[in-house]
Amino acid sequence: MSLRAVVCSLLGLLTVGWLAVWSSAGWAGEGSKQLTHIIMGLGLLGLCAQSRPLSIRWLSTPYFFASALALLLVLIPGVGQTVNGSQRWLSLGPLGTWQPSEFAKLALILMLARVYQGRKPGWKAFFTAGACTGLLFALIAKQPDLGTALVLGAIFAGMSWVAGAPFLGLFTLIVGGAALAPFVLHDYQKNRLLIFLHPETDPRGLGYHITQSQLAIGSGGWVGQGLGQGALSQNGFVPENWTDFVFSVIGEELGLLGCWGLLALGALLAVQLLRVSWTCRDRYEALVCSGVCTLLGFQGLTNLCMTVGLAPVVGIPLPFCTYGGSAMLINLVGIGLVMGAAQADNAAPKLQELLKKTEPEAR
Amino acid sequence: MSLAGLGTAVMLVLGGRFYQLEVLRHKELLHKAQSNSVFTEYTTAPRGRIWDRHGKLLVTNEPDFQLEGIPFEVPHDAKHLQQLALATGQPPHKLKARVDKALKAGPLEPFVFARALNTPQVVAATKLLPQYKGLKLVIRERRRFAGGLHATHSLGYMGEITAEELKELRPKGYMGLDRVGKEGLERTYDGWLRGYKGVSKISIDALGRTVKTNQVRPPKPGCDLKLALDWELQKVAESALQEMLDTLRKENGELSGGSVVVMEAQTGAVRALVSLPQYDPRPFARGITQKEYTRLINQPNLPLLHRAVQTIASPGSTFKLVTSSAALSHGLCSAGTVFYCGGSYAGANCFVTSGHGSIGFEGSLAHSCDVVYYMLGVKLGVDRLSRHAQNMGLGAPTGIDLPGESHGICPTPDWKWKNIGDKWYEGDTVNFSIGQGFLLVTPVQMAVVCAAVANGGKIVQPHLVQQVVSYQGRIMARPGFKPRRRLKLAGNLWAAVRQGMRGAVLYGTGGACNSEYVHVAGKTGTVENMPNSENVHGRNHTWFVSFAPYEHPEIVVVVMCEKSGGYGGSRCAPVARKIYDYLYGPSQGIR
Ligand SMILES: [Zn+2]
Repeated sequence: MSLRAVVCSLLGLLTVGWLAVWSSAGWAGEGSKQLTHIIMGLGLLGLCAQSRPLSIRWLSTPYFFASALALLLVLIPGVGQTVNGSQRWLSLGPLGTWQPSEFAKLALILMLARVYQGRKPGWKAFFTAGACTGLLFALIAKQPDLGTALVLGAIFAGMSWVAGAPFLGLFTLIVGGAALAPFVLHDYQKNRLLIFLHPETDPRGLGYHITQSQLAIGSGGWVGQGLGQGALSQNGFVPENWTDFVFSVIGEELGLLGCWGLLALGALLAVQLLRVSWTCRDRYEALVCSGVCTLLGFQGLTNLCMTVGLAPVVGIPLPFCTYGGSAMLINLVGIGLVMGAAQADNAAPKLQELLKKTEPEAR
Repeated sequence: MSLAGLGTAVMLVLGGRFYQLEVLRHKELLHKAQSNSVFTEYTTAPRGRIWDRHGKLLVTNEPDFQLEGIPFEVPHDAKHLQQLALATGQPPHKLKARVDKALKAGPLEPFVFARALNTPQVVAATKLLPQYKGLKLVIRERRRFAGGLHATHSLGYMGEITAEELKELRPKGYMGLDRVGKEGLERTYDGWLRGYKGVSKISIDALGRTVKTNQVRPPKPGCDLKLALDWELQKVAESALQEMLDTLRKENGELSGGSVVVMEAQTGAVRALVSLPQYDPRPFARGITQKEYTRLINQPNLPLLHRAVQTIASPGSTFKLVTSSAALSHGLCSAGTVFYCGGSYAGANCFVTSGHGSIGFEGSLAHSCDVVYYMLGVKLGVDRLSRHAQNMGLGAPTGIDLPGESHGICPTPDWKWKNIGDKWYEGDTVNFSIGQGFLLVTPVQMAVVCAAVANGGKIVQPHLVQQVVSYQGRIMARPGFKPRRRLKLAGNLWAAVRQGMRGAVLYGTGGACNSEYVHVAGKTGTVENMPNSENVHGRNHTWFVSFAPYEHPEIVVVVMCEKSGGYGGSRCAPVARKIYDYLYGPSQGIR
């Protein structure tokens, strides 16, 4: 892994994302707060990159149960704060308002890495992992926050696959889940999921969001309308466009070149992260890396797809771009863990080279 | 490897989708995006209020609640309309008829179900709103005559801007559907009263929903007008004239009009301005119907006419103020000259046909001897007399701050040739010199002439508004504050004329105005009319122009009665006396 490539692509993503938030929400509102989140996140990233993930492995279990507890707290009326009909936020007074479901994502990654760290995970490990995922999944689905629940599912699937869990179990779970979904979901939830196919049938609700987002992106053209110049982004035509639909601001104001640029930066970062997770020698660390890759990659691709009308709209943020403190911290900490793992990895080849150098002499 | 392949595939799909949206479909989507649009909305500023000289509120604003809606969208079956009619206090069958008509004419055009709702009706209507789709309660502003219905001609009224007015006023920020001053001070000072509109940018998406409202500039309230008008005096003057008109109506059996001007002699500040009959301006405030308006303009006594500034009539003998001062200024006579009146001159009779015999300058004014002025007029000649009359403000608007002021006519041989097509005869000069014939003046012009005599030659500009005060309390304008010009005549000449006027009140034709509280000086005027279609009996117009106190003039009072019959001394002088009695009597209205 090239440290320079990671830093460049990460800073690039953060810059573009922040510019989009600042342009649509303004400095006085979310713009300045998001900058604080970024700075705090980068600090944590530096801290995490100093040491190997292995050294905080003992934290996995307590952190996991703390997350579950926080998710439980959120559900208690009067403790959790309700926005748009779902309880997602926990207020810590002067320390700000946080979203435990974001922290739960990292908790699941660390927990699953611990569960799967054995050489060849069998059914027992698979079921343990499934139970852990199921606990958080249920708590989050109760909020309800379908998007985050899906992300947890993706993390479980990705890490199980990487760990080499029983293929049959994984396959059954995915197919079964997909088959069961139509019966579990309410009608309105199904409609919501399918509305992206015909946004014009719901011109006043979510379909409106999808249409306006595509109009905004489409009016960008090759080079865009210019930062702060997007007629739709600036005049509130894409509602709350500093949150999940932040990409529509990038599309309208920075154009196709901006979109492609963002995609390229994301791809560069993904390749670097994946490389670390392949080359990690420690299984725990490799699993943490693959979990972080799944987290960022799944969220990024799904968000882009839903913004441009290729996937159903579920509340999944665009990593490093969407406004939000919890997600920003977690994502940057994730990168920090991978960088820590890579550092440990970088140290290893030196040892190997040392061995190689000594080998001929030994011969 | 399969993961890399999958990743690349998703990336390509996404990149391709971006290309499709932003390049291939760019034009289509941009066009759709632009049908989301930003509108500019203007909010009318609160209109300035009008106060009298003592700080009494005369005209202010009140909310006008209107129930509006799209007739097609509002449930319009009999049962619902019945409810609506009850809530708005209208006869159900009438509302139904109106709605049916509107449904035929334009079912989607906004329709006013009821206007000028009172408080219980507003409450009732508010309760109906949730069940009636497309019905809304709109709050507008309208004028309220807080001081009562007096001086309505001067205060004026507002109405919707016409296409011609809009064409002229658009550069000043006026817009269609604006309400603007149509008459009186509302019209003259519309630019001050209206303030500046507030501007808001409203983002409307392609579905017509308001997405965001952004106030660019708040409305700036209009300026208040502080009038020179004395509201109590206005009421006294109105009732004094009304009493006289009522008497005349009994005597003559026909309606007639009249006007009163009460003005400060030194400054031209108008303390009261009466024009009778008056009209009710409230229908104009709420939007007059065509039927009401037609009825109003077809009344024979012309209630819409502001008689004090718009009626033109011969001044009769009150013009002798001009003739006498012209003769004095050209040295044709002096205060001590004694004339002889034999009853007629060059075929024209004196007012007293038996003749006044020997009569001094003062007596000629006091007794209103015509023969003296025939002689003086002929000696002066039409040119000198006409020029002097113009210098004193006749034949041109006085510049009072009211719209539609008449110019009047100050005749010259030139004028006669152009307008009558005949040359000027000496007989015309004879008529002219006693204020008959072609000469036509307005009451307010006579007030200026009388003020010039009273103040020693200052031609003042009559003005109702003393100060235009911004909503923050700054004085923005003082209209008519300075006199327009000063006549270069020796002061003792004016004193001689004043002496004659004082004589008229003490022992002459104006005795009816001999107030016990103040020394009044005045001049009567009686205009003989030939019977015509408007004035079938050929009744006299009568005048009384006066000032007081005689020693140091403060107030000018001009009274004029149309078609009153009788003489100025008997018709108008008593009205003026009531005004002086109010001002200087026990009520001490002036102080
Ligand atoms: Zn005589």
